[in-house]
Formats: sequence, structure tokens, C-alpha cells
Amino acid sequence: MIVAKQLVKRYQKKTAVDDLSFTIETGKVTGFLGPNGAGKSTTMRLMLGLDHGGGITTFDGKRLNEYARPSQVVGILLEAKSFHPTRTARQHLRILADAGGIDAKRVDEALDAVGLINAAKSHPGKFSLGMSQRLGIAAAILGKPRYLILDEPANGLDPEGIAWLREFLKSYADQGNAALVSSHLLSEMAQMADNVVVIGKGKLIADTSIEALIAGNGHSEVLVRSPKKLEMERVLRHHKAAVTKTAEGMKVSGLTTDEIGKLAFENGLPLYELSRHTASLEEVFLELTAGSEEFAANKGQK
Amino acid sequence: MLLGLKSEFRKLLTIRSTYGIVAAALLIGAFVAIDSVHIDSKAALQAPDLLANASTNTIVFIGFLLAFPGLLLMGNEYRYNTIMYTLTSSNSRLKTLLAKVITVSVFAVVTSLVASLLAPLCMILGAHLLGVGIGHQVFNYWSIIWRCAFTGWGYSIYGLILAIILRSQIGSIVTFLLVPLVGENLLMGLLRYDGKYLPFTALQSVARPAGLGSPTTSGHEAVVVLAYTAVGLIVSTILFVSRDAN
Repeated sequence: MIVAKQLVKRYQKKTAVDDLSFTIETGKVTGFLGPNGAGKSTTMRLMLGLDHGGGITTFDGKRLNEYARPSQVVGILLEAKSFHPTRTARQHLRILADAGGIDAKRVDEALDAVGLINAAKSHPGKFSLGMSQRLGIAAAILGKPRYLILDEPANGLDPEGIAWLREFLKSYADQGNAALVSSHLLSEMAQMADNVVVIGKGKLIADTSIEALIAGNGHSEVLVRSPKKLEMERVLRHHKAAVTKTAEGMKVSGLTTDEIGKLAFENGLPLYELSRHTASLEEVFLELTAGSEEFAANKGQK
Repeated sequence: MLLGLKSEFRKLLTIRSTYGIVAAALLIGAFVAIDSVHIDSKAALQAPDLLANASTNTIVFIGFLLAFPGLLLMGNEYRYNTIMYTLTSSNSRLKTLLAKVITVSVFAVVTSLVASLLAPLCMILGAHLLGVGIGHQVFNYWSIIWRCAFTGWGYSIYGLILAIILRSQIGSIVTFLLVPLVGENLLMGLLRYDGKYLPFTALQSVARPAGLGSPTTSGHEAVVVLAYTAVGLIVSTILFVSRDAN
């Protein structure tokens, strides 16, 4: 388990990370979400000891520098293009293997795992962003670490690469490991992550499972379409439901689909559609982080 | 620590610039040695310390090149952001820094000694090609070896210290080239005799044979260089350990 306690990072007058505490459970993929400038990358760097600040992060109860070989505890991907462009991909990983006390045969295994074995002798300076990400992921998994901390690993990956990453992280977590993954691809994160940590302006907004986050914050509504709109609306309002008219029908909250179906049947009202609409992770995210964007676009301006 | 050393040596030996620097150093050294036979008078070629001076003069010529492995070993880390891997592979920044210092030092000392061995051989070759004779030679092996090795090492450590402090590859290379060429030459005009205490002037004076403009002994100049190096390493260590890795 990774436990981050009271992380703080200040840059002169600006507080980038503000008393942030959260837990990353083993056996799960945890999404790390927040608007641009929320402090996600800084938090990751603080956790790894790359940046200095307040608070501590423990990995199975110990700080990272208490392990003899930290890269066999945590694998990292913070930037896709973190390599010397004229070394080959294999040389790049051999250097990391040497530094981490990792068996040299893991280099080709890691390259194979990310689909870069045929590019082992290529210079990564010529790699596309997607290939660079794959090399970064190979570097992260090189030491078979128990934990992965990945900053935007899906950036630049093609659909096949994203699907591979999703399956890889799920099976990685299923083996009793844990991954903290930041991403702006919220639909992807909804499929990939079990838990989610949401931050805004360096502060914790949520640290929970995706289901709990959506259930606790999203508005679950039922879409109702009936040829007898007015009668249907009257019946629903009579049973304390909140009704919002739409072009096609009405959105109802406060009653379940079962309850609405039963009411329609009892009142002899025909239904063309009765479906539950659950808020997406994106809708919940936007609602939770409203007002905490560091760099919000001016809506309506072109 | 051993893991760090292995990794640092691999970093040094897997970039083309390392080989370019070694090749340039050896070629320039060889050229200077051969060419000096052509320039020197017949009387000068009979001097008993001719070949010994060839070794030490070569180091003065090529010394600045030996700073580049140090500049690049650290500068590349920041330029290509591999510093995050380097620091998260080790549990101590001090160990990481020490591994870099040892790697750069070993590389510089070995290259310096090879170049200082090559120079007299090239001079003998040059004399043979020109058909001129060289007088009986006297070698103080220990003096030649330590002065050549120390000078090469000094340049490499200066380069490494600059790169650690500035954290910018281009910035540290430009600074490294400007300080001895412009900065110290301007200060020499102001300081005159005390100019020998300037870092690069002192370093060159370690290798420069006595009687060729050095007002003090190589040992004294080496102490000056060691003082600069010690202060530089203390400052750079404090910065490396305490600053954010970016």
C-alpha cells in the first residue's frame, strides 16, 4: 500500500500541493485526476522524492530511500521523452537495469512486453510519442516493481496501445500490485481504474472508488418517453419526483425505473422509453473540479 | 554504489560524444607533438627533458576537452530529463553524485595518461620522419604521471561541478569556455602575479613544466586547484542533494 501523508509543495507565494493525503491500495489501479495545473505531476514527484517539500510517502510502510533498490519497488513514467536520443532503446534500459540492480535479461523482456523488441537497436530520438511512451512503460516495469506511478501514460498511444495499457494495468494490479495513473482521458480512466484520487489546486477533492464517486456525486436520472406527456408528468410530480422536460420526453429524478414503470401501468399510461441515465466520470469530474481549474478556457470565445 | 558506478560508466560509454572527445584529444595531442619537432630548433631537440615536456604540454593543450565528459554526464541528465531515473534508482543522492565523480575521474585520468604516453611517441615518430636526432632523455616518471593525470582530472571535475551547479548542458558548456578564455584572461590583467591563484591558470600551471612561465611549483598549484575543487564539490553536493530534480 502507498500512503501519502500531508504532502505540501510551495513555490514562493504559490502552493502547488496543499496538505494532500491519500492511499493507493494494492490490487487496484488508481486514477489520479485533476485539471491542468492541479498539482498531479508535482505530487508524483514529491512521492518519489524528486522534489523536496512537506509530508511523507511510504511504500509498504517504508520510505522509498529506505529500500536498497528503489526501482524494484516503484516503476515510474513521468515524461515520455526521458531518454538520450542517440542511445539505443536497449542501451537506455541497460543503464536503468545496471542502476537498479536488475538482471540484464529483463531488458529484452520489458521491450518485448511493450512491443518494442524489434526497435531495440533503434535510437529513441526518432520514436513517435506513442513509441516513446511504450519505452517509458518498459522502463517502469523493468524491475518488476510492486508499484507503478505513471503520469499520462496513454498520451500519444494509438487505440491498440491504449487497449494494451488498460489490460496490462488491470492484470498487473490483479497480481497484487498497484498503479497510480494520471490521465486526461476520463472515459479511458473510467474503464481502467478501480479507485480515483481527484485533486484541484493542490487540494484533495475525492479519494474513493469510481462507483462510489459517481453514486455520491452524480445525478442519476430516468429518461421517460410517453405519448401522454402531461398525464405522466402529473402522476410523477404527485409522487414527489422532480421532472425536467426535454424535447423528446422528460428526465425524472427521485424515482427508480421500477417505480416509474409501476406508476405508468397503474395509471394506464403507455411508455415508449424508460431508461436509467447515470452520470459519467467526466460529468462528475467536471462538477467536482468546477472552480478549481488553474487554466480555464474562456467559454464562448473563439 | 557499485550499481551506480556500473550505470554511470555505461552512460559515458554509450554516447558518441565520449569517443569523439577521446579521438579529438589524442589527435590534437599527436599533432602538437609531431609539429613541435618541426618547429623546435636542433638545439632544443637535444634537451634532456624534451619528451617529458611533450607529455605535459600535450595535457595543457587537450585538458579543456577532458572537461566535456563531466559536463555531458551531468548536463545530459537535465537536458534529457533522465535525472528522474537516476535519482529513483538509488536510495541516496550522495551515492549518485559520488558515482559520477568517480566515473568522470577515472575516465579523465586514463585518457590523460594515454595522451601523455602518446605525445612522446609521436615526437619520436616526428623526429624519425624528419630525419633529426633527439638527445639523451631523462624521465622523472612519477612527476610526469601525476601532473598529467592531475591536470586531466582537474578539468573533468571543473566540468562536472559546473554542470551540477548550472543544471543546463548548454549553459555549463558556454560558461566553461568563457571562464578560462575571457574571465581569467581579464582577471590576469588585474591580478598580475596573484593571477596564478585563478582556478584554470593554476590547473594549467600544474602541468606546465617549471621554467616555462610558472612562478611556483606544480605542487603549490595543485593545492590551489584542490582548494577550488573541494569548495566546488561541497557547494555542488549541497545543491544536488537539496534542490528539486529538474
